[in-house]
Amino acid sequence: MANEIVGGATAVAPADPAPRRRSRWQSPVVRRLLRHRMFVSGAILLLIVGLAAIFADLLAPSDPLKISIRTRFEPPGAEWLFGTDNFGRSQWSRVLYGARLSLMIGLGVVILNAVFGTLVGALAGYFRSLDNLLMRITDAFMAFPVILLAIGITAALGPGSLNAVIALAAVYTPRTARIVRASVLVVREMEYVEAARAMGATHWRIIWHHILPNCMAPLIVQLTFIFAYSVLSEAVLSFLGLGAQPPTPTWGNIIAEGRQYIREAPWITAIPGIALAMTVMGLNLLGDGLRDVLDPRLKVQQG
Amino acid sequence: MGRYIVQRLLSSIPVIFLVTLISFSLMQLVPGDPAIMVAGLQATPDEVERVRVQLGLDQPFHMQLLHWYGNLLQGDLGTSFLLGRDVLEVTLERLPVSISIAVYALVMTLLVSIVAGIIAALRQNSWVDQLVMTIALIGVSLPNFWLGLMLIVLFSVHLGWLPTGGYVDFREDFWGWLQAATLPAVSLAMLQMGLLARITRSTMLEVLRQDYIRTARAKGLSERKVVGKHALKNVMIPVVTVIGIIFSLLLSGSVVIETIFSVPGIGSLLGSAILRRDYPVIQGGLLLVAAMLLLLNLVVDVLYAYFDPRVRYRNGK
Amino acid sequence: MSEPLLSVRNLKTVFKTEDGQFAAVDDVSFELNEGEVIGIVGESGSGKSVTALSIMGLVPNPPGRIAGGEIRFEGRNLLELPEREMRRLRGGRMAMIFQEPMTSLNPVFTVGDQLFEGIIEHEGVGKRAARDRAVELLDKVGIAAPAERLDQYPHQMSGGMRQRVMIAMALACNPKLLLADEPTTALDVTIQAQILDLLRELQEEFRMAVIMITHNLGVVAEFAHKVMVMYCGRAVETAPVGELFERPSHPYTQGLLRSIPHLDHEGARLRTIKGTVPSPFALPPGCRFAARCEHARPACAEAEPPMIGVVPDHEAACIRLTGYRHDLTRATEPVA
Repeated sequence: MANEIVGGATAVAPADPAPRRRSRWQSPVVRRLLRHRMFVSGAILLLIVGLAAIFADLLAPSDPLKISIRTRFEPPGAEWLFGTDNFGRSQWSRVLYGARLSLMIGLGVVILNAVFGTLVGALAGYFRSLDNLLMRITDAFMAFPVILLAIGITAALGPGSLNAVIALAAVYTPRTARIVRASVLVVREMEYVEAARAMGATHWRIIWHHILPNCMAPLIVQLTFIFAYSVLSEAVLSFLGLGAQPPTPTWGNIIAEGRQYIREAPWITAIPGIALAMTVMGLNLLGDGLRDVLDPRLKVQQG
Repeated sequence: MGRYIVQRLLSSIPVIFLVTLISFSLMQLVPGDPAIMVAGLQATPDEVERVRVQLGLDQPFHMQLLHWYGNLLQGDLGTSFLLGRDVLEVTLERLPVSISIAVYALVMTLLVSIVAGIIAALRQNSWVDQLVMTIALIGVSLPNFWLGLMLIVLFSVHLGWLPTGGYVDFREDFWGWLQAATLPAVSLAMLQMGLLARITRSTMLEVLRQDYIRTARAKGLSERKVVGKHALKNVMIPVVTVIGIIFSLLLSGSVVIETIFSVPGIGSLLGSAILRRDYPVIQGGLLLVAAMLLLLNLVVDVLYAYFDPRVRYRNGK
Repeated sequence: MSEPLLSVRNLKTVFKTEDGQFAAVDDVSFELNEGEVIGIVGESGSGKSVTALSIMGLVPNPPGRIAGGEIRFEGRNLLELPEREMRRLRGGRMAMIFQEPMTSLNPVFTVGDQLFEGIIEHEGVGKRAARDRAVELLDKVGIAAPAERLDQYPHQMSGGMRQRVMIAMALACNPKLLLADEPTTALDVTIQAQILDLLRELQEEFRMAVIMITHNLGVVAEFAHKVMVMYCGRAVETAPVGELFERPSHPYTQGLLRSIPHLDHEGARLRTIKGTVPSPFALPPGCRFAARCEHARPACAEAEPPMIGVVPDHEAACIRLTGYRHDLTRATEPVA
């Protein structure tokens, strides 16, 4: 009798439902992300920009480089969705192709950051002998204002998209490395890492199989923000003439060109800026959402 | 406190060394022959050779480095290719302009975002909070150079309230300076305002959850005392630490913003040096800015110790 | 008899979270006379701390809210008092000590500063008078060289010392009611006894009523006059302290008592209460303890048991006690 009650009561009050096999889409992290308003709005913004970039050649009927004297300075309207510039080129086409380049450059910086930031961070965090040296070097890099150093590096290497990617990666990698190092320092003291070490696992195996998987959350959050900063910084470099060279359209160099005609044709400047702000805001929202869900204790880095 | 400052100074020596090393190495990144770049493409081989010897580029790397450090210790950052003047002199001349605008932007940032962040935290999830956070999000997402251009279109071209650019020395005409510096300062400050408002809000929310806040309330203190005294000083600790980052961002932004507003500061100097490949100016300007930031971070650390007695005492009185 | 100092009637405090709303304190009632000490006992999450915070008006809102009931203190219903009046009481007529001395003091102000402000706020005295009073208080709570200690920061003191400061802070304005929320839990065992002794001395000296919140029945036995046992937000048993230890009537109380080690029962096995506390979002319809109770019957799952008197002043919420009182009264009638 009593057992029945006990059994019945536990059935009424399950502290936690028995774990079922869930598909990836039902995992608690994904579910919480999909419920996170900021994450979802960020994802939608990025999806729009991303699709526009991927399908730029389908969406834009005219060649972004096609010059036409007859159609100079057409304001935005039915015929020219985003208007035309001083060379009569379709702004719609140019902004779409600009999206493609912006995202590609951002992605390039993120990939380089992920690889080198993780490498340096893991080495510094795991091998104490390397820590001091590597951290002083990152300190030195971080002593320069981000964009100034990127400008200096691109100015030295020469203008161009690839050099912009290299410069931005060089500038942001120390910052990513610091974050990876901080989590490695925590994880390496965990018991399962001790256990792996005691069982004679190699350093490489310990770092790769035991430590890095547990540092992913802050890394992913950091990389999302790095993506946002890179897109923004690349625009600055292009604006200064250090990124991709005209006539290749980037949001930064379109704004730079439009600057001369800002009184007569403000749309040339305004529209790529809005596209840029939309992308960066999407990434920021995405990063905020990921941080809230993946790594609630991660706060703005200090110092 | 004195010992703490000395310790802090000593620990920044290796970083200063590395910073100078990075500045020097930038020159080594330049593809091709820097002597040709300096002498110009039309120069005869003889002229190129003379420039090479003059710049010490014929020496091996370590000799160049030693030479460079020797000059550096004497305050010699080289000569601008373009202006034919001493780099240190040119940069120092323009520094006050940039600093005056950066400080203006910093003050604006601190006032606006600390107040906004605290109000947002105190009214968490209210419409005020949502409004502040939306504006902050827009602030951190707007490209500052684009914002500058839009502000010119609105306030200078359409409304005609403020000049489109230029600079007035604040020691001569403060009102004129204020007019000239406002749009550049706002463009510069927007990103930092958003950033700091978000940091202040989240810090405040966290501080308000702390046990000592409950203790303060349990004492029967008024909400004004609880927030204005007990919470505020704890909120200031992380806020102070990001002042260094904020200033660094402000100086970063100055290159484009000063170029857009034709402000004769160190940013526009760097901007034109970049376009014209004036490497000594780029190198020297970067070094100077980095040195300034290191110094500022030192000040920030001292301030931090002031706000947080735990740091003060841990490092010896 | 005059009105008790504090009387809590049907208190209900709810919290709203992402996963829904739950009642951290559900229909709790008790009374406390001047100079009387009540121990509130229960596991973490049983609602004992929230009960204290509700009395102090310190339930964090949002997410918390007092949803019903009445808290009468010195004849006034605290739930209807304007915040200004409530503030005057807090730290004045009633004061609270918290569990974590390490985090309950503000790290960026000196101990003295934190002591003065309450005194200045409530007594309206100047800084010099407040300082004299603070020295006196620190001396009273057993801190050596009190004048020097005033200028130190919390991190320069040990946990026990900080808890003494917290006690001094609470006593600053001679409260009639002291709420102590697990004041010794975070301390070393040797320090625990010292702090407890100190509290007892001060209680007697100041004739304070004390609400001692603890999960430690030993503390209750030593210190309290009466006890309230809480489980899942409800009071399951209230009794004078001797009564409770002699005649624990709720199965949960019995379980708690059996899990205390006794020196005289050497060799006897300690018994734990099996099972876990149900989630506050999924409480069973009937008795909340039924799932863990060895005496549970089908009727337990049907309705929440009311408080049933065992003897005068001793009540427990268990249906096994229905009718018990009559038997007991009859059996002991000549004595009572």
